[in-house]
Amino acid sequence: MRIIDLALKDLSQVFRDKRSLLFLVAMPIAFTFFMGFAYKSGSDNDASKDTRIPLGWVNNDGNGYVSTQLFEMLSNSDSVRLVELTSDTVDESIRTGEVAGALIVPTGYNKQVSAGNEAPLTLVTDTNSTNGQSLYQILRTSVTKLMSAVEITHLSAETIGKPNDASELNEAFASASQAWSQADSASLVKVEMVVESAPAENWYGDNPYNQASPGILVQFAIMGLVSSGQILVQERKTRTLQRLMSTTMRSWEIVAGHMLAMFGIVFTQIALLVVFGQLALGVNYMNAPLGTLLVSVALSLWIAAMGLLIGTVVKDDSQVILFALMAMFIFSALGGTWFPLEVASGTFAAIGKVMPSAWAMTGYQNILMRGLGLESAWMPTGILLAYAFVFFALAIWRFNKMDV
Amino acid sequence: MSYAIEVKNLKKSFGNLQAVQDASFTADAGEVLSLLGPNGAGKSTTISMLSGLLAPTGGDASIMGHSVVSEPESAKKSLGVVPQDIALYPDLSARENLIFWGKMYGLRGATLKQRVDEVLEIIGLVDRQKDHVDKFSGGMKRRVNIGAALLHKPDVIIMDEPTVGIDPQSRRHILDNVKALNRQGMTVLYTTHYMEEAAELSDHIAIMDKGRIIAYGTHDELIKLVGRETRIDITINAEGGRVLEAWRSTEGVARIDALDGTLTALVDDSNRVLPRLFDAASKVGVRITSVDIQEPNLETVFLHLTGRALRD
Amino acid sequence: MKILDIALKDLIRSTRSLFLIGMAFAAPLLITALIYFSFGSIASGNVDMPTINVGVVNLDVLPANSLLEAPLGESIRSMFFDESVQSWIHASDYPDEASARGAVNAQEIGVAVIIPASFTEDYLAGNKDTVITILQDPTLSIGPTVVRDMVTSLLDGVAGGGVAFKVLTERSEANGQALDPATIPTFFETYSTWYANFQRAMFHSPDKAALVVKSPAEKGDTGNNVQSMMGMIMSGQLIFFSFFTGAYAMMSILQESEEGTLARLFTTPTNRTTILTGKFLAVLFTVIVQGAVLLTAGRYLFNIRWGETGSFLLSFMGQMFASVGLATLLVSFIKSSKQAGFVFGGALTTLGMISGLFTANIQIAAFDLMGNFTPQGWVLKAWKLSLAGQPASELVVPFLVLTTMGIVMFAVGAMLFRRRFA
Repeated sequence: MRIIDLALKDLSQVFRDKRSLLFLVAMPIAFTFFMGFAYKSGSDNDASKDTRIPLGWVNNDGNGYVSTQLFEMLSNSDSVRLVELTSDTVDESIRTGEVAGALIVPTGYNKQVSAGNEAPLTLVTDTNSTNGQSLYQILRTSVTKLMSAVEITHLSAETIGKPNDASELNEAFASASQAWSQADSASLVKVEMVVESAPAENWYGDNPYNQASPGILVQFAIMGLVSSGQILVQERKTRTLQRLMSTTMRSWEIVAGHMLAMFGIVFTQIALLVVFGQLALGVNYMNAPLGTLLVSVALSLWIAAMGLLIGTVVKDDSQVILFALMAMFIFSALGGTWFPLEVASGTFAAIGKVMPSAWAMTGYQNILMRGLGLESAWMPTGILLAYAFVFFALAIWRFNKMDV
Repeated sequence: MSYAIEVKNLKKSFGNLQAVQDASFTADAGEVLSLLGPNGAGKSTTISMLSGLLAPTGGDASIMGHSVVSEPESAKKSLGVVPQDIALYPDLSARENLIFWGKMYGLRGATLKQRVDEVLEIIGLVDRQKDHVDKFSGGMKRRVNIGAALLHKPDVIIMDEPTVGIDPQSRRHILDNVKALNRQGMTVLYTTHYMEEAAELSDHIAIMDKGRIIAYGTHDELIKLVGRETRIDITINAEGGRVLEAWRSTEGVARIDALDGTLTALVDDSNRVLPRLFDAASKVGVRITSVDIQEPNLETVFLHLTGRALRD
Repeated sequence: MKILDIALKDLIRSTRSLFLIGMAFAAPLLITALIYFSFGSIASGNVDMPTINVGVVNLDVLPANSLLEAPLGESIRSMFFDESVQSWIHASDYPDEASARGAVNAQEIGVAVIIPASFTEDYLAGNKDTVITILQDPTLSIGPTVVRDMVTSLLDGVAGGGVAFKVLTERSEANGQALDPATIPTFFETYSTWYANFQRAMFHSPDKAALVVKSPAEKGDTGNNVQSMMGMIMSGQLIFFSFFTGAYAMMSILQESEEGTLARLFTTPTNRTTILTGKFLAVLFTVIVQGAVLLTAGRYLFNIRWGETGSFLLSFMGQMFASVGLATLLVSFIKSSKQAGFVFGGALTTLGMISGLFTANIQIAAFDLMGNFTPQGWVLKAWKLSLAGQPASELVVPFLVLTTMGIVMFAVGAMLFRRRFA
């Protein structure tokens, strides 16, 4: 009972401060919008808009038949829009964003290629950008087909016994190019998301908030420790903790009381964000209500235990902010709440995958994106609870060693 | 000759609250003036105006002839202020604190160093000068708090209740310090609600209540205000009302009030009046259970002037 | 002189604050390092990708009378089990689509490749309705794309064989020659060898590839991809923490007010403008020192080239003015140092996020737009230009915008302060 009294006291201290509410609820909501907006704008598919990637075309080799064929292939492409450039305007055009990259046909290209020599085409682009990556992908396929046509032309002409007959070579090349334009391997491969309930088209399961909502939720639940961690510091500063210790309350009861309060705060915050996500953003947490509840409870327990640990480690208010922000940055970044872990390097992803924040994300994503049910929540819940236990044990250990 | 401190019709109001109303008093150079009054009397507000923290709503005050309104910089140069609460940087050492505050009073170089050493000597913290202030005991912090106001050898030093909430030993140390400073020629304005401190230290005492100076003079002059009146505290076995009227009309009783279950009477001669009081009590069937006779003091003066005890 | 004394005192106190040191130096370096190790290795071309777990369901069988030695499905399957990809692809067989789906759901595998029974037969017959299905975990994007590319390029190889055969047949006919069946195997073998070499060169030896990728030239030094990405990321961190440090340092005025030392300062013969200016200088100096340390660390730890001297200085100064201005404005709104956590955490994180500071290495149109309205957005703009090697002349506009923002915010903040402490 006294544990609950203590928890209620903590809660009233936090919620008395209006700014806490702003911090705990309004900000994450705003962020969810921004992040969702950001993901959405990255994948906008407006039919009326030309979504082809602008690619600069620099031909330093006149009108040889190979480069002409490449030009035609790319001109007919649905993915790129050619913009003719000269060598010296390439960098400037990329910098100004007029083109996402430029393909440079080197001097003597047709001659070299026809002779079966290596003559690389150069793609100038920033491969860190999505457009740069896409351009490389598209051009790789086109160049493969082009070079294959060239190779086939030579092989065919040789087999027929006219390896140097220009008209034969021309005919064969036209025929090969024609055949290639009809072969479409990509159409033989169909990609499908494995989603239990409803099929989705985008990686984020139709709704951009499916990634943003749980991500921000996890991030801000950790950031909320700024407010709950301060209670413990305040209690030590004002000597009320000392006074509490002089009562008949046992130390584990004091720790449990504070933990309960922090759990209450974090869980309330998560619950509000879940409700907001469901109602306002159409993020389907209710796909498995019990699963969502389990993951949320376990997540809240882990974060509350971490808050408690921070409260026992720090010396003053400002350190609470430092630790809470660091915890937020580290667990958010490593746990894949900002970007999916698969884009990170192996080591990083490997570390990230064991993070409690990553397990919380997995728990939510099982429900939101994979469309799985309650049973998919057991594993993440169990792991989060184990983490909660470890952090709680550490907090008690620190608490008993603490000078009050 | 002008006064070291001169306060003329000083007023300060916060909205409808008149915190200080027409306060006037003076202190000669080299004297200790105590501002005595209960909590909330307006002492701190008066001092804040003298030290340039608050602008007066009306009236003026001067320190060593410099008006705090029209030439605050010059006034502040002659002034050292010891705030009621510890106002030091907890994460700086005692010495670093003193150096910083010395610089704020315009001290530099060798003079600064010499003064810091002297002040550390005065406050008895030479050994602990390199320790951070937050490691100090309450009394030690108070001593540094005072020391920071002494660095520039001010002509006038204002101390705002410097002995609130500290142990008797530190209190003694501070009172001795004040006397020592005064002996060196500093004018001290000392606020307190302890009448013993005011009595022990002061050349002049100004009594403040509800924003007004209600009495001003030397200790003896103030005592004379109550004449030869002696204070008698009486407790009885019944409701005070029954006997109060009878005693009020008794010859020799200047005034009588009921305070906290005790009847407090001011009488001209206790030897003559006491038997009459016993008589009057017997007549209404009230028995006296205790009697305490006090010779006149500042407490009596305050009671005489306001009908309330100093420490309400 | 007193101004400097006050500034110096504030600086000494700053160095004794674990928090400030942590936020000003440790946090941004730690986070940048974290990101450096997470992305750095990819960008530098080392294959340290997370392992892709691929499940293969190969139902394909060799049709009767086929010229092929093995069904296409087997070629596709063996591609994932090949020794050369074992460092980053971990493949396993599944008997049917249902079990593969289950494995994706259980996150045992991220991608499953389902090759239907009649794939080879239908492919050779030109029936395009029979397709290979790639099942993917909806939370993944890179792994599935890689797998799809692998399957497509293998099919391209097969298609190439078809194209080659078709061309050879056509040209023989056109030349009135009868195709000698004996030449066909050699013909195919030559083509296959060429194709395999071509692919290998394309993916593994950039110097022999038919298509090479180059980053756009920057004016001045041409940094590599890692450097430019780290530059972006670190500038985001630099800006966020510079604003945080400025605001936190400016908060010393509230702290002094709570400690009673501000009131005491007012009792000394020091006028209020001197006190405010002293504190302002301390903040400015803190921000400069922090920036200098972080910029130097960025240069030598992460090899970031911050740009031409002029551009660099304009960016740095703009950042300085804006952060001190915003710090003054923010702190003037705060009543106590206790509120600071909320206000700083809230306001600075929000502003930072909508300005794209945490996503500086990715271009997000919405953030670019919103960045036009925040000081952080303009600082980021300035650093991006400087990092891209732009000359100082290109940075004049952002610098002027930042200076103006800084002055306006400072003026408003200072006015509110004067009102409060007058």
